[in-house]
Amino acid sequence: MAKQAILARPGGLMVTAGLSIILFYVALAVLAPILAPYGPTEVSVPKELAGRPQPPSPEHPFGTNELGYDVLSRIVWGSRVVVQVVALSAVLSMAVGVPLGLVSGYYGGPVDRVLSLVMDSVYAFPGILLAIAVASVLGPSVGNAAISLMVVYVPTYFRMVRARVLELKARPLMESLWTAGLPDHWIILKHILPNVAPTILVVFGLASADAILTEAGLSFFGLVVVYPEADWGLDLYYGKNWLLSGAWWLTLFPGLAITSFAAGFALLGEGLARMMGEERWS
Amino acid sequence: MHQLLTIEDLKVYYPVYGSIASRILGKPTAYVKAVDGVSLAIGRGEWVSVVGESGSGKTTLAKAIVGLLKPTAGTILFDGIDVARLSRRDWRRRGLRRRIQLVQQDPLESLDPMMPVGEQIREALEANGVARGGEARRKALEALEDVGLTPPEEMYKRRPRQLSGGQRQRVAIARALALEPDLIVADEPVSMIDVSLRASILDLLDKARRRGTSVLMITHDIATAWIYSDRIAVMYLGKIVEEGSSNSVARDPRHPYTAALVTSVPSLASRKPPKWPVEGEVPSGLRIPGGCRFHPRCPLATSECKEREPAETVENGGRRYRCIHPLPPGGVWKPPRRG
Repeated sequence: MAKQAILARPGGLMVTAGLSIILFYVALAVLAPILAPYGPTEVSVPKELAGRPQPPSPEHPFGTNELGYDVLSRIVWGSRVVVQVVALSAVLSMAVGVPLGLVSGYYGGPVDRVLSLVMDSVYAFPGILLAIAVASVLGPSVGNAAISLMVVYVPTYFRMVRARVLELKARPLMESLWTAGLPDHWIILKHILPNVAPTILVVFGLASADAILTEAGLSFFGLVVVYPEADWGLDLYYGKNWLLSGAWWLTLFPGLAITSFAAGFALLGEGLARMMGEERWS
Repeated sequence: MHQLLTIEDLKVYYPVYGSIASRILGKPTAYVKAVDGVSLAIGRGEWVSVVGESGSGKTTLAKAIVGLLKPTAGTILFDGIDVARLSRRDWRRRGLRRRIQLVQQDPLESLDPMMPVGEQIREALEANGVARGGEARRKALEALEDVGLTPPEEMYKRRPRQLSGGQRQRVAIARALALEPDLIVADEPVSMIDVSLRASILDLLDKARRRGTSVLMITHDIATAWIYSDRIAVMYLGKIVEEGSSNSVARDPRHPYTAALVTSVPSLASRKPPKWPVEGEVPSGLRIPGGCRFHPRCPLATSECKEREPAETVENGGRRYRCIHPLPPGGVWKPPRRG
């Protein structure tokens, strides 16, 4: 196949847009100390204005909250928490879900049946409830939040990888690899994994989009970090108290950050799925 | 002749679960008798073709020989080892994987789309302990060159999609030949290939045969089989109905089914449709007709054929067939008039 410009391929625009959004937030997290106009818990308004949220102004484009913290700065600093939790949970879920899916699908038998049963039971739980349950047992911290999310998303990786392996196993390719005398672990690592990799990428995009929303839910309930640390979901929680007083900027901006970051991953996943759809073998 | 492969009374039945209850209980309601008592021998350096329509069980036979299917009954003796009873691990441990190679019908499906084709040959060499590292790479390049894929360095790096259908099948054959097997089982190796390229592909197998490798080719094309094989076995509904030297079977058939296959080959010499068409299709292996299994489609069938299963007749010279009313020798048989 000829190399085409990424934008010209199906799903190319989605992938580009998704990647740009993701990179934007990652850059925000890494460069927070440089980019944020104020510290996350810095009282940035004159004393006489503290005590009430202040609407957006030239000095505070996203406004301030009742403690005088700059909303924009808190979104910038808060991105560090989301990026860490989501990245860590994605790595953990993949590290567990992909190998189990490969082995379960390839060997089949009783191990496969038991694993599938366990994974399906976990999968049947609503993700946010499961994550809250696990996180409340473990206690609030970035690491624990990542572990809670891992529990939720391991079955997603497992199921997709296993399904793809079963699909591959039914193809003549597998017969030709067996009769070529390749050992099982070799077949799994050098032939099945590379053929499953595109699927893993798609799942990574879609699962991470979901994970961002679940993470926001966890942090909304104070299960990731403790106030006054900056975190999008937590700011939503405290901002909602001022909604009836007309302080919309306390919830709108963190909310937009959450949805746009999730949208970035969703675009990446969907776009990749479209791209693969075209390149899947015959 | 010392036989390399001897198949005796091989049976491969697929269980059919006709109801949910039967599946849960693990008790099949019926069996598809894909291979139903096949005996066949292949000598060293011999080319035997198994000819038959789709549904005759020839692919199942091939899969059983290369160890992809466990036979229901019977033996497959390969160089004195009963491979029908071996586990997948034993196949590798005893080095049989290298010695028996499979060439499949569709090379696009049998090669890994993600891996350069040269690497696929190289890893087969390494996995079977034939060569490793730089030497394996060198041998893979040689193998590519041997099948006419030049320049080999350039072809080595290509992925299957970057090759034509004929080139892909050359890669599949190169991988099989690089392992220097004793037996190559080729399942319809050229049915997906352009007609104009078929001979050049089969010539590669013929070259290997002349160096002493035995070839078992599965095909539906009796003309191709006749050109390349030493012997032809005609299969119908799981049984070999006629087997003998390539010339005797193709030019002077005894079994009406063989005769029908022969006359169905189109020829540029006479612009006529086949004189003796076989009507209908191969019945399902689930409901094999009683008596002679070919009788519902046979133009010569009598009431006896419906009742009695014909035994094997062996002629001088080794040709054998299963028919109650065999065609007279000499190739002078005439299609019967119907009605």
